[in-house]
Amino acid sequence: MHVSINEIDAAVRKAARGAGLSWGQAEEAGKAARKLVEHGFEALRPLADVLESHSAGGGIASRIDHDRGNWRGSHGPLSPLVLGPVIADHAGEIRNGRVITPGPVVHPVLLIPFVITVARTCQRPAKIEWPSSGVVVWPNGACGGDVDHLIHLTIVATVTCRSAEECDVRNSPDPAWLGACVDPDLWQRFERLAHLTYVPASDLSRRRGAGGGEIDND
Amino acid sequence: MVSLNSEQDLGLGAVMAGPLHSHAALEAAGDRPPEALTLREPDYVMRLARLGSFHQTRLSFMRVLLRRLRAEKWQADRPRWRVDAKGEGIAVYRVRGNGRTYSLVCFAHDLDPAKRSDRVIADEWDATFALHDGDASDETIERLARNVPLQEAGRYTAQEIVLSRANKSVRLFEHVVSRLRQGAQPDPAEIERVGYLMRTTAVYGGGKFGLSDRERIANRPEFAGPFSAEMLAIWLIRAFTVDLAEHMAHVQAPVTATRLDKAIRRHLGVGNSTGLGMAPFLFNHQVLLDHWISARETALARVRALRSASADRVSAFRDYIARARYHASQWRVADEIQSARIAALEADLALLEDHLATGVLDGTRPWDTLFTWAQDRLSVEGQEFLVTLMIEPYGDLVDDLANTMAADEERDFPIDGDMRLGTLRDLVRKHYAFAFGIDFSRPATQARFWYVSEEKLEPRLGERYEEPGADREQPLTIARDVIALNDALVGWEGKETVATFLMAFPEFRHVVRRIQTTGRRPYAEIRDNLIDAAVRPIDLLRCKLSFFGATRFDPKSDRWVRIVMYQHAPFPDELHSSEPDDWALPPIDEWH
Repeated sequence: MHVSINEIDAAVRKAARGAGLSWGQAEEAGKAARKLVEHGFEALRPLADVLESHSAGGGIASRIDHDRGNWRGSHGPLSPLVLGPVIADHAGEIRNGRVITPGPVVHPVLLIPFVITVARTCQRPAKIEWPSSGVVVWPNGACGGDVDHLIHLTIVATVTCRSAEECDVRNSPDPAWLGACVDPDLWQRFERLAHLTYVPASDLSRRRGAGGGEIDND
Repeated sequence: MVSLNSEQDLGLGAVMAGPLHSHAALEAAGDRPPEALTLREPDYVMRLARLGSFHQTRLSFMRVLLRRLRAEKWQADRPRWRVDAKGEGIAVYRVRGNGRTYSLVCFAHDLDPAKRSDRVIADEWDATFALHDGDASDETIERLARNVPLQEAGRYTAQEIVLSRANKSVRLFEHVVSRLRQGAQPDPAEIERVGYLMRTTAVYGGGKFGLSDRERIANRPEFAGPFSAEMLAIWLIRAFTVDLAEHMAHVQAPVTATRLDKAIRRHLGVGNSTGLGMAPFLFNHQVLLDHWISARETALARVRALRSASADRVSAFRDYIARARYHASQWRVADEIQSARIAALEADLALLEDHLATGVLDGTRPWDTLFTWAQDRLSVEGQEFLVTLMIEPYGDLVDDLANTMAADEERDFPIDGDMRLGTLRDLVRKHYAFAFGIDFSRPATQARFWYVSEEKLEPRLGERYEEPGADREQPLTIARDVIALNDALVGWEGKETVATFLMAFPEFRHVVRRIQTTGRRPYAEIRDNLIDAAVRPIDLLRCKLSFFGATRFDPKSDRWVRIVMYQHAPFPDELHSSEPDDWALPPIDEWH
């Protein structure tokens, strides 16, 4: 089915909230989904996987334990939707040379939108690396390196995020804004989670509702 | 009667240039360019009671759109009209300009009166519409015919920009058709009472249901302004409503029927019925809200900063007050609160007129003097109407601000993790003082909760202590959340960073983002408690609708409102032959 970019943003935001993320993280998950689609990453399926793990409440960490300077999941591997915003928050430090090496983290491709934010904030490319390879991200969202490998990684022991001053400028086509074609079954997975944010009608709410009467002729 | 044929050209082509003044001309006329500007304080402006008293201005989107369509010589026509004797069928309205074409594809339906409801839960309407990007081919129309009548239940492509539907005002529609059928014109009192033949019950854009994303069209000059595509669709819908009434009169009595007198036709706008669905918008679009308010406040400040007022500006201002007095006297609603406010407005306008006789506008900084005088003497409704009136004569000074009202919200989205917590605390104290005055241990301060209804996927307002669902509350709780954040910050050093704090407290991410945005853009926050027992959601609706350019606010409760759009505006066939932009507060014509 054809969906607009804004629908993807809204559906993922609601699904993320339904899955138990904070409002701010949910907003960021929506924006991340939007960026992934805009820049041609077919990553909505791993996104749904991660959200369902959050919803199930086990096997994925929703808090970061950062004792001794290391970022680890408080229980289990890190969620990229929890880790990503924290990486973006540290863009200033990354620009100043800090290297962040958290892990393990599931579906690291979902970190890409947050690394784009880092690159934009730093006004220079940023790198995300894992034990066997890496990807460079430019402020305009262009990506170079082993993108295909990254998309297929379900979990990595660590990722390293740092500023990459040595990279040249890379052009990126503007997003076409034509929306995306999404498998209806996949869309349903987001809608099921989004549904957890809705309030069923009651007699009182129906009566008050938006405030209107039943029939509105004049 | 002159029947509209299906290929009729609605554009007359002749362009009359409106009067234009440069700053040099201003100076020659006795007005001086503004000095440094002082804007009204956000703590003063961004209160619900004030936002809920706003009126349309020169910067309202309908007016901005029509000024642009005229300046850019857009042409309108109606390439298709296939509506039968029952009023069912398809019509297409087309506008062309800037090398582009847009088509409003209209589906007219013969609706069972029992199904006519303005509520968003309705599933059939008198007419349904889609604004298509380009010429609408037969294939496109066939595809839209399978979807547009279903509205939310249909699916659309990036080639569709706006989706809408409308219901008749049955009484007025039948009155107009009946008169036209007899070769007579409608009763002015009937038209004044309602003001429209149809009212829209939803106007969707921004990528809903697969429609075009706003970003796809935002770099086109005609759609650079907020909601400009929606405003275009509504303007064309208005033409359709009149054509449909004339068509029905003609098919019922082809020999005797006549068309609406154009002067009378101007009195017909498009109605709109708006409920809670629109209410969270201003809360959820902080940067946009800031840009809208900033533009309006800057326009006011520019006029207040003028050192003198020329005779022709003062004369125009007096004329607008006279018009305003007349139109306020015609603004009648059943709602008691709004009725009292209209009565106060009428008294305010009379007082204002009297005050002008004292020569207040002859001195230095006349507008500032007048506006300062008004603060202690006029009602809030009157004060905000004065904003509309004061900037009205100064199009040359303020109209450019319309170009500042769109927003790239993406740029403000990332949280500044480097910010020190001391700075964050300062922002909280500076911009959220209102929250510290609220005692959240009092049940009334949290009596309401905003939620999304499972039934219609629309925002709703619940009673926290009477209804289930508060555990799924939407975050329109900024006052309460800021207090909670402030409590959580206790014990943290001011030199620590936001990034460190949010790693420990991710539940405050949305609050911190809002505070930082407000720090950069002080008009970005509504400085009131949106979950208080006394909150009036129509204040949020009224504010947004005033920026659209809506008039005749008619509250039906504290949470939904009827309005009129484009009343007195030129129709597509008058765009290039009528006075530009002199319709929102129209001259009192002989028909009044």
